[in-house]
Amino acid sequence: MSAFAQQLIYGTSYGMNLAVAAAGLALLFGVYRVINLAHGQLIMFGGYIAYVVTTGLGLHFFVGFAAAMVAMGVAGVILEISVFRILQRRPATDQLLASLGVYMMIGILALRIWGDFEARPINMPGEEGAILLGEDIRIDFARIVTIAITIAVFAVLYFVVYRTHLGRTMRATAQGPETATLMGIRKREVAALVFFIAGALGGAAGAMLGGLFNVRPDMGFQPLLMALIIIIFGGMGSLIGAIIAGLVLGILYNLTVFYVGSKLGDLVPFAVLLIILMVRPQGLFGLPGRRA
Amino acid sequence: MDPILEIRDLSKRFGGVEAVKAVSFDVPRGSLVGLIGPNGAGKTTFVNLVSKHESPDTGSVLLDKRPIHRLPSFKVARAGLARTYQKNRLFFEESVSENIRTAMIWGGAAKHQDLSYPGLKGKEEERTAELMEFFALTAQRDALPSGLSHLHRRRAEVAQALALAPKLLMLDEPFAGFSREEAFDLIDHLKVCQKGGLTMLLIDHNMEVMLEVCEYLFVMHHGALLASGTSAEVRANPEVINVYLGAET
Amino acid sequence: MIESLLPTRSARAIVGWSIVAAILVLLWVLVDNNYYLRLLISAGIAMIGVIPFGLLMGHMGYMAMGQGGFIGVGAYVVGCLTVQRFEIDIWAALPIAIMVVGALAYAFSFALFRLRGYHFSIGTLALGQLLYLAFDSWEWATGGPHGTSGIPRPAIGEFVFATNSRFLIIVSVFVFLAGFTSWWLARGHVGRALNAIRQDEDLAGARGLDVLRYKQLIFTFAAVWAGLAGGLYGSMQISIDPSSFTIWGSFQYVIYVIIGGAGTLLGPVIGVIFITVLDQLIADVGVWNQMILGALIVITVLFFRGGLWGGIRMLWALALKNRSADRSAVSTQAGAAE
Repeated sequence: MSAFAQQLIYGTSYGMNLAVAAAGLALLFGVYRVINLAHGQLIMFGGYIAYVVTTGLGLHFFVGFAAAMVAMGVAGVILEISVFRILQRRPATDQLLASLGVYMMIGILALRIWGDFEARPINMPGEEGAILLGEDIRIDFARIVTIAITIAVFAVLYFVVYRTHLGRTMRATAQGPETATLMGIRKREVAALVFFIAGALGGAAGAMLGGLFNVRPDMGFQPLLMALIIIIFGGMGSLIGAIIAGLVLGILYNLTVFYVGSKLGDLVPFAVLLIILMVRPQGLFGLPGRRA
Repeated sequence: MDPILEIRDLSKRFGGVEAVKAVSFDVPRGSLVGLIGPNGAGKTTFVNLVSKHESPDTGSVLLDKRPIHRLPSFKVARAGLARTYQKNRLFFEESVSENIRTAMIWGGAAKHQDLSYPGLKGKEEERTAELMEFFALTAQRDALPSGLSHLHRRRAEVAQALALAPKLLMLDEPFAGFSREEAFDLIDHLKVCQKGGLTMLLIDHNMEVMLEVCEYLFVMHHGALLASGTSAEVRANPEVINVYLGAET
Repeated sequence: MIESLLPTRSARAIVGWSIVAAILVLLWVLVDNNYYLRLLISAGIAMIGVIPFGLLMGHMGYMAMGQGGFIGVGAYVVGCLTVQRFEIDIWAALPIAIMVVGALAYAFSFALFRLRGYHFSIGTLALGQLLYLAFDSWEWATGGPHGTSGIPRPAIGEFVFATNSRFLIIVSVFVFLAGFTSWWLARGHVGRALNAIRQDEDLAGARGLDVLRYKQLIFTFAAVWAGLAGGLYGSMQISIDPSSFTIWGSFQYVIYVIIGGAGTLLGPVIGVIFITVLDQLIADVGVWNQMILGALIVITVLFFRGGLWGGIRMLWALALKNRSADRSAVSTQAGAAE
């Protein structure tokens, strides 16, 4: 039983990290119908920036975390200006393809800069400490820190999307470009901000995942796949759906890995996805009848 | 009355919104009937349910006594029910004549003895030529849809739908973007087809034209059928007046 | 001139695809080097899978991102039947592999074609990854992470296609078949249906086209050829392991099509040739080559949507136009002189 509770907690923390990674994708899809595969590499680079700032420069984890968010936010804006703005009116597959190209381009950078596939640790606050609950349920401080950060990130995101003028504009844009133009929205600024937020979410996910599992040049791939599954699971473009789906998937993953074996654990998300696609293609919280 | 289309309790729900609520009515054979309602009344969803672009949650649709609500959209089309779209839709990489011919090829040899409107007799080439001549599109036969005027594009769409040799044609907002003269030009063409045995269901929110043209009208509001009757009856119906005045203010 | 020699379109297609295959075989005479021979075989195997895939992605507009999984199934079925669990002749194993892949693709197509656009791409991506993980974990059939080794080369009687130069002959024959069957499908009714599905599949359905059937047909067709490519790949490599059938294999197919030119039959062929040559040219720069490839994809998508083949055709059209312009200029001059 205690092992089950332990896995539940670990799954929750992993799931929350995935939810942050997926939220960036969901935001872009929700507002602009764009799927950005390069998001996976923003996660990876976010991890490396946090690594440089904390382990390299010896600064506090939160500084590294903030640096990762800002840097990847800027990277998101650069992507918007250089690629996605040009592809605005193209078919969906064009945007997917271009982002694949970007994924390949960025993917190799970290490997070139740091030169190997070695896993690098990020100094997290309370690295050694842990809370013991009852007999043998152990929760690392690092896990608690990431859970706390995730909740804070989502609180800020919720505030931005539902309580600010920018959020209203974003949601209006999601309703359709016509509505947005009617409201007198300056599109470029909004696009830049949305891509900034999405990139920053990727950076945040990278810093946290790097903190928990070390930083590697290929660390962006697995979260990217998971994030894609999560946004389909939760309904494309739905932030709340992304959070819930992230948690479910994270817990499911950890439980399967613990009780059945790591290989089957890897299989679970994809099997779940295929089943969902068959039963409910619009996801748990998606609107039906909408053309992709 | 001999109904060609019988709709019973058709409903569709999107999330929490009931887009179409238990709609039932009959369309008499050979008639030109209208479905009107303010924007957002659920008219287009209703058309999508009948043509099976979307599946109804409940209810049934009979075309010539044959249930079609379980068929996929292409079988509905082959069974003799064609439709047009609110937004112009043609195959944009193909010429006008190819667009029309394509529907003939896929529609199969749907021959109905009791029909006699243009484009039914002969080989594919002859049928295509006859339809283009009827809609005065012969000069545009090799043009791409993007090179057509709005009027010609709409005519090409109707011609493409007629190429299926349907018994029943549903036109979704056929008069959108049309002047009164252009609308009546299209209606004149449609009336020729009606004489040839085609039944038509017009969906539009242009009350003025619809009341003038349609023999019988159904009024939708908030997804449900609000009223029905001849144009005089509908015009006098206090509920309809209320809805339309309410929608305008 | 070609038109008068070869009156029917199918005769021209047969000759055309024979030429592609013959060039492959003839190159073997020119390159007496095992390294380049292996490159040629790899390129040929890629063409076998990617020409039919071009119908799915280019003509029909459904970008599947899981072909690597089907390649793997083809390779592992052959591996399992010939060495891992049974000892069947490879000529029998290849058709069985094709049937297994075809059945698998057809079964999954029901679920996958409830999806469109992005959803479809991600659904196929998930399927590809699922299959990859299956290769890694189902040790009984695949040998797990260590893979399967000892897959034989095919033989006809005493003649074993053991050397690379001989193996290239088989590959070339299949390149011809893949090209010809794809051409045969892309013309006439099926081609019309595929183009319509890409343009507006709802409209196609409303005009009487059984859209789902055509989508399933092409998806299964592309998967079957990918499976055959996989079987041949296994036979070429002799030993296989899961690392050859990752998502990158799927992306590779997508890249061939987009760089070569989507929506054409020759585009994917040119894409394979171009990428193979490019890989050799930039092999010196090591890991940077992925970056160059990525940049090429971005640039192609942004500015040259027709790909290389589209570019060639554009230049060709320009040249023809110039020539006719020259001629008309000459004739006007002549007219003026008179």
